[in-house]
Amino acid sequence: MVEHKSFGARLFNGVNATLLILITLLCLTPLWYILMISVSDKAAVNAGAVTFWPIGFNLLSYQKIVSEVAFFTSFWVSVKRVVLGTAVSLAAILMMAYPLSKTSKQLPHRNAYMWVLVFCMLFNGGTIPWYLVIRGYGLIDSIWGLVLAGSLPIFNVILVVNFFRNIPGALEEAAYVDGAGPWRTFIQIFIPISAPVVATISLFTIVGYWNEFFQGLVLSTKQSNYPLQTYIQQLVVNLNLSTLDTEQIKQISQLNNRSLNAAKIFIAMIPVLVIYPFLQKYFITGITLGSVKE
Amino acid sequence: MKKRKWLLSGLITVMLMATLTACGGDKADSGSNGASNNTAGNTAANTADSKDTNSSAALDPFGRYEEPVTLHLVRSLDPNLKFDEGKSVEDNEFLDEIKKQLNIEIVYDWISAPADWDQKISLAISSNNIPDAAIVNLTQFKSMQKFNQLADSTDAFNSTASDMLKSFYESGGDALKQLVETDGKIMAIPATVPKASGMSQMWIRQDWLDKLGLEAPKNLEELKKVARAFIEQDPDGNGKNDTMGIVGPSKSGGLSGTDGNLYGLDPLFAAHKSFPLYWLENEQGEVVYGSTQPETKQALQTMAEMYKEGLIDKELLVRDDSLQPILDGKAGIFFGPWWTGYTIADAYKKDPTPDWQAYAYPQADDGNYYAHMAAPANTFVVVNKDCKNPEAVLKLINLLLRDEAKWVETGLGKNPGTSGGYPLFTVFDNVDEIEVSYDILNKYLKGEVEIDSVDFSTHKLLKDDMNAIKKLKKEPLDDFSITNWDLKDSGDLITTNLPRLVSIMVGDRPLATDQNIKEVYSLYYGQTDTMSSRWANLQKLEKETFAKIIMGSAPIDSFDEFVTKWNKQGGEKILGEVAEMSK
Amino acid sequence: MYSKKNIKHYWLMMAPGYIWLTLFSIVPMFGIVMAFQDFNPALGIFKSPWIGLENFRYMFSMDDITQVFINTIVIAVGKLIGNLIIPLIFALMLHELTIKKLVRPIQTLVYLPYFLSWVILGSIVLNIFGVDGPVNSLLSVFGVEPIVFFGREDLFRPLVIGSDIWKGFGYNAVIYLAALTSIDPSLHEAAAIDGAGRFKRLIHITLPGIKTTVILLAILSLGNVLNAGFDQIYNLYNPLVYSTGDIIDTWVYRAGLVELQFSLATAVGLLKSVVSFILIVTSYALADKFTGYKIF
Repeated sequence: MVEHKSFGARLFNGVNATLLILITLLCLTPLWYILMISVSDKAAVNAGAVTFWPIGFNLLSYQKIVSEVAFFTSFWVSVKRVVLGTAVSLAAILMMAYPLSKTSKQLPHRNAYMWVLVFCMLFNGGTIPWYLVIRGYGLIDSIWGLVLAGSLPIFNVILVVNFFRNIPGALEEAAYVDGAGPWRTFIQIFIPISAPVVATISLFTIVGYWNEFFQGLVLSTKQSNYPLQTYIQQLVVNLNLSTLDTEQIKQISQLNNRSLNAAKIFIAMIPVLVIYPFLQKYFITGITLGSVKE
Repeated sequence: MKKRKWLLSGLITVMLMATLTACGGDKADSGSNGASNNTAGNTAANTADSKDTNSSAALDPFGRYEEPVTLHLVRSLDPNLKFDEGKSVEDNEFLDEIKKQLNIEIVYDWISAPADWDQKISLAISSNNIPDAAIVNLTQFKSMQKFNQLADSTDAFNSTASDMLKSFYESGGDALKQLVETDGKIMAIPATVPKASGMSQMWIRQDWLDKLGLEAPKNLEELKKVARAFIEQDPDGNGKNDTMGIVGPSKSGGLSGTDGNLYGLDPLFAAHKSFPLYWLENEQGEVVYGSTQPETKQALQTMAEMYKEGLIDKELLVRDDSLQPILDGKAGIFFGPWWTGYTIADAYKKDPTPDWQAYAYPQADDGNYYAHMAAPANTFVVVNKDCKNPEAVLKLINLLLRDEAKWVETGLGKNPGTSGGYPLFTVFDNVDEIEVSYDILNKYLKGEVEIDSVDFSTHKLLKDDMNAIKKLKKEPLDDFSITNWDLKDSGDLITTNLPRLVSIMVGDRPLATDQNIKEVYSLYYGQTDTMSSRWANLQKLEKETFAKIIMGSAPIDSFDEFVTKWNKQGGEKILGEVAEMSK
Repeated sequence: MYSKKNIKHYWLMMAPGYIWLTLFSIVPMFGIVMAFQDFNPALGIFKSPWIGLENFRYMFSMDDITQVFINTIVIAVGKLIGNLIIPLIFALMLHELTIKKLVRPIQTLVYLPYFLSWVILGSIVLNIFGVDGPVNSLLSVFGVEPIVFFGREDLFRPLVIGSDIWKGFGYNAVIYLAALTSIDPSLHEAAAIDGAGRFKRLIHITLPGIKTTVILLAILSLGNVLNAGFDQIYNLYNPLVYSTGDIIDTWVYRAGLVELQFSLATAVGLLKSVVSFILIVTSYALADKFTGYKIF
């Protein structure tokens, strides 16, 4: 695209870029803060003296993590959960969304199916019945519990349905003329064309599974089954000291290590940082749909 | 087509329901099976003629079961605790010892971090999936009792509690019975807390006082003067105007409490003879609520003035963590219980300048220091009503109380110790534990008692304390300034023992030595019926009003409005109930 | 053309999703009855006593409940508007960025705050806005006295809404970015050749191109009109800002501290669901009526 670079356009570009960089820096603060805490002296951290520069720089926390078996156990649980969960969720979401993107004529009661989804998205029976049911299925302390118990992310289904609906009907008709059935049309035409939305919901699913900590807590009876974020959560939650007995206070004062916690939080973000760029290209560069677009 | 589809979905639903009920039914079945097995087992035992020996061994406080007994428990465990190689919370020396001595096997249904404990235990309660026994707080205990999930432990307690456990129970007096007994039935075994834990006192930087040539402030006026000096006269000598006077509670803390209330402002209230949250008897002999009394209004007014002048932390009740300015060397005064020595432990390692000392100040006009005292217990061991061997739970506690000191001495399961490895561990303290420790440690340092002549049976940690203090304390032996501890050559003792020793020798000194302390008790520490529905809201009203008055966003007269509202919104009714309960 | 044969395949495709939904979402819904019970775990859902609307009556008998509802709605609506618009603006800015090398790093970095839970982020936010924090240091350069930000009733809501948007906009922008990519670039090219300026193209090509996405997100976000965000508020609030910051969820939480209140929590959950459902149905109908577009 050749553009005439007027002064106004250049001014806009400059201001736009500057603003975006400022915004980015603003979003970096918490991460930077955590990084600084992880490399600072423990006593300075406890005194709240560390803000934007390390005090008593050291890498002890990162050395210590190496010997933290529990951290890596939980890390592995999370990786398994994300891999299994993303595979299962993506398959279920896409397969479900394709028929639902049809008209009521093509799929009778299509609207009813849709409203069932919306209903399920908004209503729930609360934690207790949910827990009882999952326990009834025997999914406590099971990786499948962590994968399935969150139920189907309906928001994502609706997102994909909408995307599918905007794909021109002519494309599908052409496929049928060529003798393709619904499965082939779905797999060979709809999915490739929907790369941006598939990338988007993959990201949402991965991040959803990676970030989730409450179910990990409720559905596990011991720490070795915790996903990583549950493991981290239990370390960073502030305790109300007055409800503890003196032995517990003693333990906490000896064992609590904010620098180490910060290092764990930091490392827990790395996988997401690695995965993101892979998915990113699908919703930044855009793909040319060419003639198929209306 | 259509019909068939509905049929299909109907079928699926039915199948699902069937599975569900099957799950539920299954459980009920196994339950009754278990029960019938149990009766069968009992009859077998009866016919086997071994009943007598078996049951007397079973009921003896330290008797060993002939057949192994399994207890299902749950546990809170600090995730940072490290066990010795090959050992874990589910397999360690203490569990071996319990198996050997009592023939009890422990199975943990689940284990959680202290941070998640409340969530996990309330899920267990709400799904009626409670273990044989658990350690819970008062709210949980009372809810479980209301839901009829608890066993009446009276018989088990009378038959199987050891003498030591019984003596702890007795030491709590009527207030303790009021908490755990219903119609004379013991519904939970309370973990008594040391008396000292309920008392809040003033902690002050002695090195700052010395530097500015000041005395520890005895009353409110002097306190204001000292706080002012701490702010204005640069006590840390860095040439910057960056010090503050009194640190207050953080956003999750309370201005006042019914326990030691670390960082609370309780002594400032008490200096006006005001005791928020306490049920008191006034001069007419009526039951009144401390927070709504005119003394409290005066106290709030004083605090509002102090806040306005900047003597109290600007970020009172907003701050994320009140410990930070203290460890950062920016603060000179705060209030807390004896065990505060643990929380400021970092100060000993980094830089031994901050010399925190504790005083039972500020005193009220009459020269007394009014110390509000805590409930006699805030944790309770509860037993499931379906537990087959309630006496086994008591045996576990008996064994812990009897042998813990011995284990400490022999180094059994030293990492991480009983608190990490022993099931149902909670601190069962003698009410006077801290005062006795203070007294004996002092005498020991002076050479007035020998280590062999001390009876450790009711004070389990004392021996370890005595050994440690000998190594840690430098001359002069009766001055517990931070500089008189050996911080250089003591190695691990600084992390493992010094915080406790500072807590006892500095933190308990006022309670052990100050003659002007007057103890104030609440007439009632439990929860009445109306409280369970109204208390959360009344608390909100109270906290909001007090915070706003102190920090100047509401006038002092809004206190009167608060009193009216409090009475109207259920307070009056609660007062009546408390009066009834405390008769 | 649309043979009946297809329908069977459609069912097959939907089956896994609906079975999953039935097992893990519909079956646990029997718990909703707890809202009308005085739930006693030992008796279970089938035997607990029925108390009709007592839980709701109790909730609405509280003197502060109006205030709590207002707080909830103001904060939640503020968030949902902000979370709709700010990510959109950000996505458009990023879309227009001419230095393409910067696009990926910026996008990666802005979504980082999303990965920190409010327990962690809460104390960072409190430190940043603390009396000795960077914001006050900056203000002091301009001679402003230190402000206790989180102690101010009037500032609490903006701070909560603002920090929530800050946490999530990078992440929320992803959907818009995906939608933007599906606009045919040739439309832009043609318009540029016709001499349409940047702003004109934004109005006539870009915005219409993502209109349906925006409407969809707007309507779905109505489902959160009573969810002001427990984790965030719980980690930031204090008694001084109860009057503007206490929301339904924190209120229920505190009630549960005094006595374990399972039924009350369920009743509140049900109330929220019903309100969300009504709002979504209404807005669905309105969108259909005025734009002729059925969002799902």
